[in-house]
This record gives sequence, structure tokens and C-alpha cells, in this order.
Amino acid sequence: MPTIEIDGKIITVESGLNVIQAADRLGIHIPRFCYHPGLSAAGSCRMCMVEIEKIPKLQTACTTPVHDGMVVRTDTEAVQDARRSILEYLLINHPIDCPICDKSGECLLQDYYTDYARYTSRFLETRWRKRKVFILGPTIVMDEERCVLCSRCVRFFEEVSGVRRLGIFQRGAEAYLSTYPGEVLQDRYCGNIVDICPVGALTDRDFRFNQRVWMLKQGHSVCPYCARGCNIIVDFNEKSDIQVNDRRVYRFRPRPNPMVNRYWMCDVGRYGYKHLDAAERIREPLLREGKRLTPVGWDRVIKRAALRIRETLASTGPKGVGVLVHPTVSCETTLAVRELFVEQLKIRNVSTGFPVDPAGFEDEVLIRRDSAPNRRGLEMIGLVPKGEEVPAEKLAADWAEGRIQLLYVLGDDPVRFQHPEAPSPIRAGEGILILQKTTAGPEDEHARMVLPAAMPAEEDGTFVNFEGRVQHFDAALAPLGEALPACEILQRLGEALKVEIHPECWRLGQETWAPSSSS
Amino acid sequence: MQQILPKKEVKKLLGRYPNKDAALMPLLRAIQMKEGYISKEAEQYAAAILELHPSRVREVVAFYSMFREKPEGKHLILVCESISCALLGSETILEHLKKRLGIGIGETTADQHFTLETAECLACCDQAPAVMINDELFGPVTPEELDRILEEKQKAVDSGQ
Repeated sequence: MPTIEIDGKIITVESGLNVIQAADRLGIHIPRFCYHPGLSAAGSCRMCMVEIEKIPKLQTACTTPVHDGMVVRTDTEAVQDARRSILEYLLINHPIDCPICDKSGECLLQDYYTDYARYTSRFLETRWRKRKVFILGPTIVMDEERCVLCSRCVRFFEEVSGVRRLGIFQRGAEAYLSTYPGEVLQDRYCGNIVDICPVGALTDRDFRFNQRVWMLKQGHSVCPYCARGCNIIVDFNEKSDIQVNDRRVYRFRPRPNPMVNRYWMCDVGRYGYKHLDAAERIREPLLREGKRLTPVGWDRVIKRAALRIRETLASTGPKGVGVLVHPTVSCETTLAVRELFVEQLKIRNVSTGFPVDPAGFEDEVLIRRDSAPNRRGLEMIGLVPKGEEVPAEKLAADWAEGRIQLLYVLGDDPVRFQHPEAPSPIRAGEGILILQKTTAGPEDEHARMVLPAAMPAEEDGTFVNFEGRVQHFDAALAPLGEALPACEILQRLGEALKVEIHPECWRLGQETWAPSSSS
Repeated sequence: MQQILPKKEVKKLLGRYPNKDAALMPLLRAIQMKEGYISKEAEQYAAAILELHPSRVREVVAFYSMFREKPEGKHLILVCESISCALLGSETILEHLKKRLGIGIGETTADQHFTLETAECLACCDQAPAVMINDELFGPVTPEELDRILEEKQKAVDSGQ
């Protein structure tokens, strides 16, 4: 375990680490373009030059392994001079079009420019002109003039997503980034190259020109689109200048977590942000009056739901009521469901959702075949004792064929969550269908009531991913319209049912996991 | 896919290196010797042999100016433009060749016999101005001498046909 000194601070790290990694651990930021912690070190941009005692010339911190007794200085006059030179060189042909560049505000070149660059250019020559709008693929657009040829994107496809989809062709000032001639850039992980591009060369055609990054607020959450549970950052506006009094989510970005998603996320999850503000989101509580679902406000819909549940229980007993919980709801919601419906109302027709779609896509990188974020959590909590669960297909059939008079469905079907065109497994029935979910679907036409629930990014919750990793998240932003967090809906329903449930029954504790952790 | 080089030759070439991708440059050179240039098909052929993505092969082909990306004439004429040759009249030589062949720099004559290119130092400053035709070095050359050399080359091509 070598011990090294960087800018007077001492740190002991495992051998094999490079100087830049050791510095990162100390919180010392060494400027870099080509180095990224999730990729191999290329050592090509020369921005991370540092002074190391007993070595006469400056060294690149990203490719120099630490050794015991090493003394590194990252901010001497010589180092700053080297950075200035590199920046001057990178800026020879750079358009400096920050005012119209999407990366502006989160651009390394811009940041370092303010720190180290020569503000007055020494160049009299006109700069090179290159392709300004070069469409690489359906999601990515390239601005060749802004590219600093760091090769992060080339290495990303080669090392992370698995197929080398990009190359840097030609040489010197003529060099440019492109796909192989004739190929279109398509990949399930394309969006990541926009995140890791240190400049504004690669931009996302979806986010492009939509919002300045410094106008965005950030919240943290967990991606709800598959069983991996990638950690994400939610970028949104509470109020935009265009639509006053309305919030808008602009993008999801991966939040580094070495145990789950490292630095990456897939495009399905990334563009899943659109779901939050989608026109299909249910914005207010709906009650069927005559033939149409009509917005009625929470009080009325909760009272009506409680009344119907009471009536059904009185006439048929718990047998006549079914509860279907999709594995898109959080562990907290699951606990609240267990407390309210199973423990208090003694309902045993309880199911934890339809099985995983065997035709779903899965790969070695991140994407899981199971598109539900919390199947493992539901299994681990267990709504009913093990072995007593009702298969979702049976529950749906019992409902459609009239053996169940009231069906309460919580959460969104994970398959339809991703493929809205897929048919709904819940058919029409004679009885009362109550849906508590985020997004409109074909089953709504059979429903008596639709209760708008918050999306995962809009509520506090916990998901357990396919590996059994328990991941808690706080609400990143307020729910859309009148939607409420699922637990709060259940709490209101409990009050209306006059059932005494512990006000914080959904609080996760050690005992939550105890019964099934041995299985 | 079309086999550009005999399998035996490829095998021998790969055997000289500890890992496959190290053979990229020699393989491309062998292809260029055979075909005169590196076509898109050749890039894919090399990529398949070395288990690389074609974009990696293309990076190397595009980086080195001596890997040629389009078909050349039977004779590639390189005129040195570096300092010694420039001082001793490479400009006159180049102009003479342009006029005689009726083509510009980087172009090939209609009969596909000659391609004209400029070059950085040919490592032959003592014989400036120097010209290289395929692998053969000439210098110091005068316009008259070049005319004689080109006629010879032309004859060789004609008799070969």
C-alpha cells in the first residue's frame, strides 16, 4: 500500500492506482479531458500534467501509477503553464460558441478556460471550419468544431457497451470523430457519450436547445424501468419561463454508483424522464359518473372507494375483494398495502404482479429482462405468508369472471410502463375496479375510480434491485397535478375506512427484511 | 468476403506478432502492395482477420498518408517539396510534371499510368531536387531528365500490356 503526498496532503492507496485517482480521493481536482474514472486511461489530452519530485519533466497524472514516497504537486507555476499551453492549443480552432452551446455550464473546457486560459488569443489566422451539425444517429448530434478528440466516446463504446461504434479519422487539425462510413450510431447506451463528452461536441438531440443547464434544479432518484435500479439525477424546472406555474422535467442522467450502474444508464431509462410530464399521466382523481371518468377531487374519490370496499366486504366478506400490486411500487407502499388490506381487512386474494416477460431484452451491461424495479422488494416483504400468494393471472381471471366483486390495483404494469401499446392483462368485469396508478391505460375504461399516484421520482421510497440491493430514494420533485405518493393515498383510504393503521406502518426497519432474508 | 491475400501469407504475417492487432500495419501494407490502395472492402477484410472493428482499421488507414484510399496509376510519382529540394527547384519540376501529364497534385492520368503527389523529405537532400517513382529514387533531376525517365516508364507499361 503506497503512501504518497499530493499538495502536502498524505494518502495511502492500493498499488496500481494512478496519481489522478489518488488526487480525486483527496478531493484535489486535477484538470482532465480524456481521463474518465469509468474508462481506461488514454493519456492523450495532456491536461492532467503534474510535477513529481525526482522526475525532471511534468507527467500525466492519469497514466502515472503511484509508488511509495511519491511527492506530487498539482498547482505549481510550471503545471499551470502547461495547462495554459494545452488550452491555448485546444482553443486554436475552437469556435467558443458557448452562448449557443448546450454544454455551457457543465463544460470542462469552459471551466478550465476561466481558470487557466489566455484570454487574448495570439492567433491572427482564421480558424478551421468544420461540420457544425453532423447527425451521428437518431439521438446524437456532433459538432466537429467543438471536439477536443479526447476519445472518451470511442472508449466508451469499446469498453462499456461492447461494440466500437466510433473512430477518430485523419490527423492533426483535420482529425474528426465519426462512425465508420455508412454506419448510423445506434446503441442502447448512446446517451452516456453526451454525459462524458467534456465539451459540447456530442449533444443529445432530445435535450438540445431545450434548457440552459444552470436553470435546472437537480434531484436524486432511482430509475424505475428495470430491475437494475440505476441511480439517477433528475434535471427539472419547477417553473419554466415559457410555461409559468408548471414544472417540466428535462432529462435523467446517471448518478455514479460503483455497485449498481457505475457511471452509466441505458437509453430506455434515460428517455424515461418523458413519462413524468407525459400527456398520459393522470393528473387528478377520477370517478365514473354515468359513462365517463370525471375529475372529482380527492375527498370524494377516497370516500367513494372506502364505501365500495366496505359494502363489498359486508356482502361477500374478504373473499370478494382482490388486491393486485404491481412490482413498480415501492417497499413502503407494499408495507402499507400489507397493513391495510392484509392485516386489517383480512383480504387474502393478494397478488404481487404478473411474471417477468420472457421475451424481454437483457444484456451483460445494465439492462435486465425484468422491467419492474421492485419485484425483489415485494418478494422480500411478502404481502401474505410464503406460498399463499395468488398468481396475478388467477386474480385477473377471478375478477373478469365475477368471482371477485372488487379489485384494487396498485401501481403500473411494468411491461406497459415501457411498452404503452401492449394490451392490458386486466379485462372488463362486472364488479368494481379501482386503479391507483400514474399513467392512463386501456384498463381505465373498465375502472370505477382512478387514483393518481406519484412517479418514483416524485415520492420517497425504496426499491430492492435484482441483486437484493436495498436502495432508498427521496422525492426529487413534487408530484404532477393532484397526484399523491402511494403511501399517502393508502393512509387517506385507511382513515376513510376507519381502520386503525399505524401512521408510519410503511417505515422500513430491520424487521422488514428479517422473515425472508434467510430464503 | 473476398480473400485479398493468400491464407498462407496472412498466417505467416500474423505469426510474427504476439497479438493479432499488432499485425494491422504490416497487413495493410501487404494489401496495398497487392491492390495498389486500401479499399473499403479491404478495410473490412483486414478487420475480420484481426478481429477488430472496421473503424479501428479506418483510423490507421486515415492517419498515415502513405496508406492510399483510392486507386492510383501504375506509377506513383512523389516530388519532394522540403527545403533542400525547394531551394534547388522542386517547384519547376512539379510544374513541368503537371504540364506534361496534364494533371494536378493528387490526380491520376486518364490512362491510369501516372499519379502525381508531393512528398515531405525523401531523405535524399544530397541529390536535390529529388523525385521518387514507386520505390525508385531519382536525383538530382532536371525537366529533361524526367521526360526521359517517364518515357521509359511509359514504354515499360505499354510493353507490359
